[in-house]
Amino acid sequence: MANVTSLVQGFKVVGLKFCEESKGVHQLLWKKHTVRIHSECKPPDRTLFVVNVPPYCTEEAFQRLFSEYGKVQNVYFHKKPTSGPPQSAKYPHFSIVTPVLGFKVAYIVFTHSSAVKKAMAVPPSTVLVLSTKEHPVLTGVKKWHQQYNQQFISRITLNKEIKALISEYDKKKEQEQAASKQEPDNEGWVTVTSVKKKKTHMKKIDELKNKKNKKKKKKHQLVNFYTFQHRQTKIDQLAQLRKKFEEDKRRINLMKESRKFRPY
Amino acid sequence: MKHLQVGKDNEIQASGSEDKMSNVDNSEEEADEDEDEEEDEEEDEEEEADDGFSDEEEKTDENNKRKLPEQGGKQAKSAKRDSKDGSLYKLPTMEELNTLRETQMLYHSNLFRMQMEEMLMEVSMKEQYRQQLDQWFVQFSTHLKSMVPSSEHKLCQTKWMDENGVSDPLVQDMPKARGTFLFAAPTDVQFVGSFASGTITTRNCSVDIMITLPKKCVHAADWRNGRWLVKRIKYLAWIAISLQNKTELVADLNWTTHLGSSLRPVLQVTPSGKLGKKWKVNLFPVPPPESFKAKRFSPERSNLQPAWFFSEEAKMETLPPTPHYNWACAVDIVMLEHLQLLRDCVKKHPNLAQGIKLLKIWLAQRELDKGVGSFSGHLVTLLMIHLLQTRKINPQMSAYQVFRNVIVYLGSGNWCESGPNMRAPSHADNSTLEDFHKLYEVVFVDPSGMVNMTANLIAADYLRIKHEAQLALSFLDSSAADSFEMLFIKKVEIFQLSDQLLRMRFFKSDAETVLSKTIPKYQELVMDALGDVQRVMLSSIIQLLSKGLGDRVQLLVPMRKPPAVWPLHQPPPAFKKIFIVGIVLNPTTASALLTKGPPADSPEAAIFKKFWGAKSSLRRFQDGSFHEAVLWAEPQQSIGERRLIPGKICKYLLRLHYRKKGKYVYIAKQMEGFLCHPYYKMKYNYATGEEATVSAIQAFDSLSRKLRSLDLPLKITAVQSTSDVSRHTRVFPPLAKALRVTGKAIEASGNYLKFSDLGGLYQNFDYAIEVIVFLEISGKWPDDLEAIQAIKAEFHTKMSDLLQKDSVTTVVFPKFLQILWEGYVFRVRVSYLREIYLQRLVETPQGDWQEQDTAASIQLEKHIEIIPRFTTALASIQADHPSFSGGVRLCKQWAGSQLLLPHLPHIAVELLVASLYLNPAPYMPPSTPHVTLLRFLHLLVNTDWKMTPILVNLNETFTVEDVAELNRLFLTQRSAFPHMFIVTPYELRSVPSTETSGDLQRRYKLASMWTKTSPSVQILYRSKQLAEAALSFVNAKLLKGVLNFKTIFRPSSDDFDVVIHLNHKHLCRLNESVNWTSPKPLKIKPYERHTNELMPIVMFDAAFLYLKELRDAFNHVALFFYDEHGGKFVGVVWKPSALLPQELKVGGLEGQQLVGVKEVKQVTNIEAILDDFQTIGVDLVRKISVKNT
Repeated sequence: MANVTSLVQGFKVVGLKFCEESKGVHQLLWKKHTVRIHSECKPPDRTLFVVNVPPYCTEEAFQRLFSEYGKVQNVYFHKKPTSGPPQSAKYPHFSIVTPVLGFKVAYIVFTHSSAVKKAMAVPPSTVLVLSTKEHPVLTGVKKWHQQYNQQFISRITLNKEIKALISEYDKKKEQEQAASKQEPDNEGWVTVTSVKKKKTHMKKIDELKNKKNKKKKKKHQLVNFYTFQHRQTKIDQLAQLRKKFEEDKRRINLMKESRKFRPY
Repeated sequence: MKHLQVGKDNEIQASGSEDKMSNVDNSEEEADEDEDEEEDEEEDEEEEADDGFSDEEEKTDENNKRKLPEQGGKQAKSAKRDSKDGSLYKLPTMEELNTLRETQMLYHSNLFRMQMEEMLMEVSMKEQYRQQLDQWFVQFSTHLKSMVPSSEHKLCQTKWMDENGVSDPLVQDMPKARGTFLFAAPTDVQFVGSFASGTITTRNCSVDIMITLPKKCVHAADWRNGRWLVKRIKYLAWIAISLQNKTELVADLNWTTHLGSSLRPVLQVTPSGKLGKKWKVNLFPVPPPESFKAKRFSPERSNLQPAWFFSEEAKMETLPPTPHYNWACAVDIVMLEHLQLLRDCVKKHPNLAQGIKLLKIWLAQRELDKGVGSFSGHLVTLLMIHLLQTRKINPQMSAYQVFRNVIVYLGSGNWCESGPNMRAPSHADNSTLEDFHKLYEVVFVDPSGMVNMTANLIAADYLRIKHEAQLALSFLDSSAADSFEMLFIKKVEIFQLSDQLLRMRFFKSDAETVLSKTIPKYQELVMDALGDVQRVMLSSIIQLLSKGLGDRVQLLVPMRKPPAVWPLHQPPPAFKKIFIVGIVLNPTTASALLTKGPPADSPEAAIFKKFWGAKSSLRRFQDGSFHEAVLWAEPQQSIGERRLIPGKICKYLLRLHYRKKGKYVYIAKQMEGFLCHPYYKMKYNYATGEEATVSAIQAFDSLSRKLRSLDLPLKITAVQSTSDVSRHTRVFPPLAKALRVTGKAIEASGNYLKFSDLGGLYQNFDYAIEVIVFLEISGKWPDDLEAIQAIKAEFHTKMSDLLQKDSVTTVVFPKFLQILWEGYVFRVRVSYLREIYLQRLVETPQGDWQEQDTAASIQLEKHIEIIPRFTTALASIQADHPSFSGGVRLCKQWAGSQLLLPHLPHIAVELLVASLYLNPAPYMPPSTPHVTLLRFLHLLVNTDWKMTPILVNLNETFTVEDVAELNRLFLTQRSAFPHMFIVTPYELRSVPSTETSGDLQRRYKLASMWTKTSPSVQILYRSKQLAEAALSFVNAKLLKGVLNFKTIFRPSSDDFDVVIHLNHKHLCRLNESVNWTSPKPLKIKPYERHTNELMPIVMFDAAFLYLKELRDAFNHVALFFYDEHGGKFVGVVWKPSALLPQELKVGGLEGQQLVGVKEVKQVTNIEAILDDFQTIGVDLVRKISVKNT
């Protein structure tokens, strides 16, 4: 392992092995979570921010690993550091959120702020071990087998989720409708607020109309009525020809550079 | 510039005056020498004020003031202002106008013209060499003319030659000629041929010099028994001896042949100095004019005595005509006459000379211009003169038009039946055209009416030229291809041209005895050729084959070697009895099962029977008639086997007619073997898998009907497959196999199989065919993306319920419905087109919704809009070209085995192969997988991806504007496009009009979406190298007739930094590997319908999952290479940037470690990552070996 001072840019550097026998050691870097925008799920005083987390680290494994410093309330994984709430899908099977793959960052929320301090105070030569005999972390063929088996979702859970999702959507729609049809207050005034709405093709329709008008106009226009117009079109044609000529010339030069004219 | 947006009156006026001002400025600055271009033009304008155009500017200004509704003036003015476009509006000079007009009228296109001019410049002889040659010639001819005459020798005496180390270049087994030889200095030495007529190209780097013998050297009886042919050799030998020590004049002396004819060796002189490095000089001795009677060498005359040739024993009642011998002599006699004609016609018309050069290049690229059976440059020139005389072309035509007209002429006639006749009226008493046709296979009569210029061509040679001419014309007429490159720049190689090849080796003496029995008048022919039977043999073989193959083939192409050049002291190279004949198949008829003969009662039946031997049998046909016929295969045979029928026919005929006196190798199936699935026991033979693909597609069709019949809340309007199986491009299509029962590794759970916890081995791979389903339009779909997924799932459940009622095994997954149908597994997804639009909506900071392309929307568009259309388009190519499936799959197999997939995306390979079929120029579309692979490799090797856009015009749906616009975009914004640029019409979006730039941008936004992220330049380079190695390997093997091509399908693990060896037991697709041999045959039994079928384990491939995890985790530090068809190792290459320490970015750490004490940097933690490779693939990974550097 490289000889590093205990704190790098405020981060604690700690080693992480997959299991006891592993030779390679990854470095985990962590520090207290500090951000300008506070989020309820990541209270700054109780949250540890960890970077360079290897892909095979699971929430359970981290829960166990960090419980050494204090009780862990939550573990969140992200691809990139973010202050916002975790992108957990309410309906895991219909979520359109992309899963976190590869190396990632973790936010570990302890129940007490003392745990964060404890974690920051670990000696620099600490090497954590992720997978132990008692609590193995599955990887490789066994993990893939398990993943395959987990793809199968029972019909009941699936149906439940569908129902919940749809009823929530219906509710949302109703609310939106209600919002747009607000009752007049006792003085007869209606407060009109802007409602976020996915606008339909308004812009496009306008464009189309414009185009139609243009076409109409064109039809009414006399083309090549005056001599100068006639002459102009001729000149334009010539210019067009020249333009093509120039373009072709450029192409030829390019081809020449790549020696395209040596037939043998 | 604000004045361009003309809206108000005063603004226009302002701009107008401004314009005038600038004009004045310019004129004032005229004296200044540092004026830029634009100003120059304006200057021009003022000078040519009387041209009528010059006051255009003022006028437009006035017009604007008059508020006339026009745009031209404005545009003109804006262009004027813009310094770059300015030159477009300058006044044309007369010359320029003429060029522009000429280009339109006389040339194919602007580009074509410029390309042509460039190329002609490239191939013309450099002026420097021309001068050097002229100087050299003066010295050389003085040397010749000052040579001392010799005393008389016997013609057959060669002692003086041997003493000086000059061998006799003539045919070895020719009897000795009688007569005497005497050397005297030539009376005349002059240039002939292409140099004299100014049509020489750098391709044929030899200049011809004609040496006229003095009268005393030639006897009146020299026409006889080969005397003249021997005499000219002796004369050359004498000159050669005198030149041997003249190092200041001559650097080297060699023998070669005139048009590859062994009867006519010529002396090739290499001039000393720089000139000789590029140019050679051939010497042609000719007899003095009128030394022989004009009709002496008419083709029907007999000038050889059998008694002389065969010694006394041979007896022939009549003296047979000796057309080829006569030709060999007469060529020398008419040389002067031809030279005069050339001077008269070609020298005067430079355009004709250029046209001749074009034709020569065209022929040279097809290797038709040299050697035996060639269409020589002299022949081209004479043909051109013939066309000029018959007014098919005229001197005013441009070089392009000349070329085109000659091509048209070549493509239309039939020189085997009535060739062109140039005979001048003064020679009208010579032999008729019919006489010529009786004696030669191909006829082109020269102006003297005595010589057949095409005497050395056999019919197959001519047909090849005719075929090429017809192809060339079709390229010129098609707008799509870059015809110039196809015609003049691309080399046409026989191995790329022929669908199949036949290699024949004869054992010399045997062959001759057989030939003497099979060919009528064999003795006469041998005598005529003075013992050189090569042409006779080849001609008879090709006649036999083409008769046997009939309309199965379009062309039989004998492979010709370039003419030999050998040192002065060596005998001529011995003739090898190896023939390679390329076969260009006719895809519609090539694999016909039956060769139908004449009706049984007709007199031809006997001939047919004799030709086909025992294989011919009497058969009754559907219309009740009886015919002789030969059956080659049973109807149930697979396409792969039927493709080999032409070879069967060839081999059978050769054995029948030439008995077992040769070795015949048929090259066609050797490559296709790599598509085989050896352990498959089914109703039909698997062979190369076309049938397996078709039956999978049939299962899809029946499923589609079933789905449509379901009673769903919304009706199903379309069922489309997006799988490569439906495109006929999956290397190993799924098979309807007997279903698995549970075992140690798998257990049943409900109606499906899953992995058990016992952890046994599972070595089966089942592929699921992806299907998308569209429902009828409804307004009730939600406009929330997650809600849409839920609705889709509800449809899936509903479908599943209905199908299960009919006892079809289905499993509902959150995102799709998996159906087991007729032994195949399908994954059905309901799709909703408006989802693309919803994915495109992005919330702006102002809280509005804006429509723009997002990664997700493009992905969705690709999957549910573009790929289904693309899939049907590729399937339609398969319908037109039955070899497409095999071809694509073979190419994919190769790319896979060389670990290029998916760095070279699957679809990119499919599209490249599709382009080989849609744009086959300069060939015909391929008709066998074998040649498809060779052309694919050739494409990878020879395409300059930086310069070449590949437009795959699927279903001909590109408009002319599209092609122009795409080419323009490619040219102007090359760096914005992927390294490999492949466009199909389907990724172009439809827009209301193509006038606005926004619309244009929208239309071409997704162009070349398939190769957007990969291949990278490095991968392209690697694929080029691999293809180059493979191609040269194959070409060498083909030439030798050794046919084990496995090597090119074997990946090398040498180039990788790390090699991860996988455990064979966990490779589910091991049996797809080219190099796999199973210890015990794995028999696959066909599927049978049962009730309560269990859904098998589908799409589970441990290696694939491993690769995915590796790429997800380490894409930023390394590239991973793996053969998806059961590859046994994963190759890893570190990215160079990953190995260097970099600035520390804590937030972006991904597997790096920190180094350094004072200045902390980050560097990839290789040791830990190597360990991760093991960790991630536990059980699958056997061993990791790291290359020592």
